[in-house]
Amino acid sequence: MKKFLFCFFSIIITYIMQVSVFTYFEIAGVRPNLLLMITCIIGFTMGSRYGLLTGFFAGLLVDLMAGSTVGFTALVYMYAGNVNGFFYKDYVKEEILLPMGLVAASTFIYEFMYYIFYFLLQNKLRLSYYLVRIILPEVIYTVVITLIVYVFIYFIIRKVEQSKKRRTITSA
Amino acid sequence: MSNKPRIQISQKFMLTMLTILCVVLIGVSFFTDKLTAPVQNALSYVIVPLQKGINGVGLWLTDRADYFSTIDELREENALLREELDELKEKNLVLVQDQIELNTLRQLYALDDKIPGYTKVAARVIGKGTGNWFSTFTIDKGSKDGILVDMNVICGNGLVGIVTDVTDNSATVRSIIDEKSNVTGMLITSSDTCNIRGDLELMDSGYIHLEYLRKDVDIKEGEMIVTSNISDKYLEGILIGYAKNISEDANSLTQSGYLVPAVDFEHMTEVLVILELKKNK
Repeated sequence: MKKFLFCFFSIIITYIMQVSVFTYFEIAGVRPNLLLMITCIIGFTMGSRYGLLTGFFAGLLVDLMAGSTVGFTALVYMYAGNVNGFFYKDYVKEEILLPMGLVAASTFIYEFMYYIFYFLLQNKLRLSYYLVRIILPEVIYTVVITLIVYVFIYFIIRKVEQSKKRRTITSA
Repeated sequence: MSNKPRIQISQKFMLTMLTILCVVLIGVSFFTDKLTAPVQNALSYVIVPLQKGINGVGLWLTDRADYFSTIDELREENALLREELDELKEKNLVLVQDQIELNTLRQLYALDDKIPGYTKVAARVIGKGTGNWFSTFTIDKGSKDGILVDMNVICGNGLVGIVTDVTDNSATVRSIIDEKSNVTGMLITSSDTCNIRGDLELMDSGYIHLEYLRKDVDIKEGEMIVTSNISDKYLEGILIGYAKNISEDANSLTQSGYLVPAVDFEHMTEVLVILELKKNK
């Protein structure tokens, strides 16, 4: 239950950050994809079930608020959360490369699919331009933000585990 | 955790069901938004106040930061502006005379009541769209303030875009620099029409496309382009921008080039929504 609440508030907070706060931190007109990032992080820190649900609801929120094709982002985010959840077992909290790599790969794949469905199919063929100008900057920016957020989340997880340990010791 | 027996939904089942749901939603959203509109509305009650609050804090903070960092800049600017002011005063004299002439001409054309006569409502920009691909933004006024889909949005005297989506408390505006945006414009001097198309590939230059202008039209650099009379969504006579680098197309029937929008899309905090639909006129 606590985990579900954590997911819920993460989604709301990151959405608000994405649409208002980060408009002030645009770099060359590009913002990081925070919602996909939080989906991935929840995926590999809590398992694919949470990742899947977080992805679905985060994507649905994006779709509904944007008012375009409802379901596309939800679908992609959901699979991103699910696939990231597969790394739940492999993941070591102290390892930073895996989270960064996963977030980078997920963002890249999502943006690439977005390009295909919304641009390529409308005969916008200059892939190199979109790749260099939008997709790669966004991936890099998102990875940088992941570093910061991950350290923050890492501390939360450690605090929770410590308090759990203490509880088991006192109960024993 | 608790020891109560719980209903376990297998993950594969969940994934399959949600996938089907998504696909159905995608299919439905191509045809109608009746299904999602109520959910959207409900969401707006939760999200919009939060967004407004955060946005307020952000504006305040940037205000503060600007206040301290720009004193030197302001001094320099002040000196420059003084020079400019003198120049402008001179020019203004000429313009005032032109204005008088314009007014008389407008009355002749009975254009006078067209442009300033619209009722408008001011709205604050409280958020951008989530992705980097499209130039849409959210404003803090919605259907409660009388805003409807397809209403025109302006800033200063230039066209910003059009309302594409409305909830009770907020509205989504698609700006004219957006990929999907197409506006019919016309030359203010000769009323020849052209198409103004937004393009993501031009985001760094700050221009948008100006297309399908007849070849024999004589157009000068910096000529004013306004919304045309034949558009069914954009009200007539709103300034869109200024023509730039117009050249003849390969088909030798039309000419095309770029348009510099009249609005600064980077620094837009407040916009005006014209509370009038073209089709109701």
